[in-house]
Amino acid sequence: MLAGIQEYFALALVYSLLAGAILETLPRLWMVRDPRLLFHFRLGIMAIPPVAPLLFAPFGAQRASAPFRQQIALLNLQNWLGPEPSLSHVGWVTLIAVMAITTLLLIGLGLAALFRGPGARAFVPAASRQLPNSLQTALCARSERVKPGVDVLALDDPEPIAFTSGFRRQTVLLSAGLCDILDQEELQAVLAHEIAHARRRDNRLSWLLFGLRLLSFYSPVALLVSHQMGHDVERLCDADAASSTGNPLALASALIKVYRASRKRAAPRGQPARFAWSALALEQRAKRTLVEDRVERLVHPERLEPVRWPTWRLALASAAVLALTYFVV
Amino acid sequence: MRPTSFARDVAGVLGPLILVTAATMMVLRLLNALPAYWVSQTSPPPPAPMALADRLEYLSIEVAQADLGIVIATPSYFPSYLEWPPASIRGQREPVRVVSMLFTSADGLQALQIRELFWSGEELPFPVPEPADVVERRQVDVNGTPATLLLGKGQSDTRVNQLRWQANGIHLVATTIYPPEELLRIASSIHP
Repeated sequence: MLAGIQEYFALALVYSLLAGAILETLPRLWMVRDPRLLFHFRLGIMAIPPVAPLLFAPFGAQRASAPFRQQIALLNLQNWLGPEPSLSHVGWVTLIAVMAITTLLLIGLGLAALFRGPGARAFVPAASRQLPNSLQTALCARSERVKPGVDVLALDDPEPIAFTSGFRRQTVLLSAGLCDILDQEELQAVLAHEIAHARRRDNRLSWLLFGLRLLSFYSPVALLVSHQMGHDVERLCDADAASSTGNPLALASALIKVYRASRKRAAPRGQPARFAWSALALEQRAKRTLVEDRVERLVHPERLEPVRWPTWRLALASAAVLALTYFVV
Repeated sequence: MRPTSFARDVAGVLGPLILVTAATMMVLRLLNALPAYWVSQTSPPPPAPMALADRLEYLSIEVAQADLGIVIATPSYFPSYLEWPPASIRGQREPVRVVSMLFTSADGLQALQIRELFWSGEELPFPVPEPADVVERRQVDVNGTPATLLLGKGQSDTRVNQLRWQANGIHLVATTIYPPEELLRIASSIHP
């Protein structure tokens, strides 16, 4: 049974690499720039590795047979992880090293979060009658866009915070601190952005991605791609908000104000370990890069040339990945 | 004739797809072949050929049994594509009693060899040749006894599969050109 688990673990990583290589390369060669289509390609990278073993289960005996492994398979992992001691050591050491690096990165980011400013705390929504005036005005202006079943609540918090939560019922939460630093147009833009998240039910997507990451054994590919998909979702909601408000510059301005306000938060408490400090610096740089990218796209929106047959392209690429994974045992 | 827009678009979709798929297949094949190359470069030289004299040639299993004072186990599952009796029966008395039966197929190929070493120790008293190019070793089960299945190639790149196990104080080594499933079936029918 241990050998079976080891093999599944190795297959999950190889399948992720395979799907990632093909489904990231093909859109670039096809010059796909539509973020919605790119999002679907990346969803394929996350979904195919855990789903492929289930699809191929009826052919398990055939794929496990020696003739298939020796003569037909494109890659037989037993050649790398089999009984030859020196080679299996290389194979396993490589796998474990890759997973260890990923795990250390996750731990570092977690430590950075602990040392950064106030630690984790519970957000306390204020009563609805206490919505700041600016938020009430903004909400009235956006009321026709708020989907039934989406609540908008204010947070009694001095930090500029805006997020969407809830699984079955979506709730948009904006803090008093946010309402203080943003003007009316900016507040409407942020509200539109969060409502876009609620309409897309992005929280459910987050849970789905979490499940797919688990099933992929947190392979580096799955982590990177789910991280990238988070950025894609933000960009899509930016585009929706810019389109619905007709004022992309307001959202860009709001992003910059919120980012600057968050940078002024308390310095890390105590003396964080060097490793956590490095991870914190990396995280801050990543955030800055993301904000810069989002602002750039809002200020200079890219004119997207639609590609022909987007669904067929996605289907063909996914079929190619599945076909290749069938011959990796 | 200039390609139509439709043809151009189809080529634009299929071209990169074929290119990427082919490149990926090549990389996978390369990765698949790398371990065998690694092993051939780093593994120690193969052990010296076995010190099996094979000096005595017998005309039948009964004569071999009587001469060596042993009971030779034979498979009860004997496929129709193999010839009975064995084409060759050889044995030796020293340092341990060994009998080797070679069976041919209907078209005269050396198809199955069964060696029985009457030695109760854990390890073989002397090395028995493995297939020239072992690509996979697998631990299997023969009638509840652990066995080692070696999948490989012999000379002239032919497939050669070998099964090694121990039962009732006898080391058995069965080598065949047929698939491992067939080898396991034959081996499971040998009850020393």
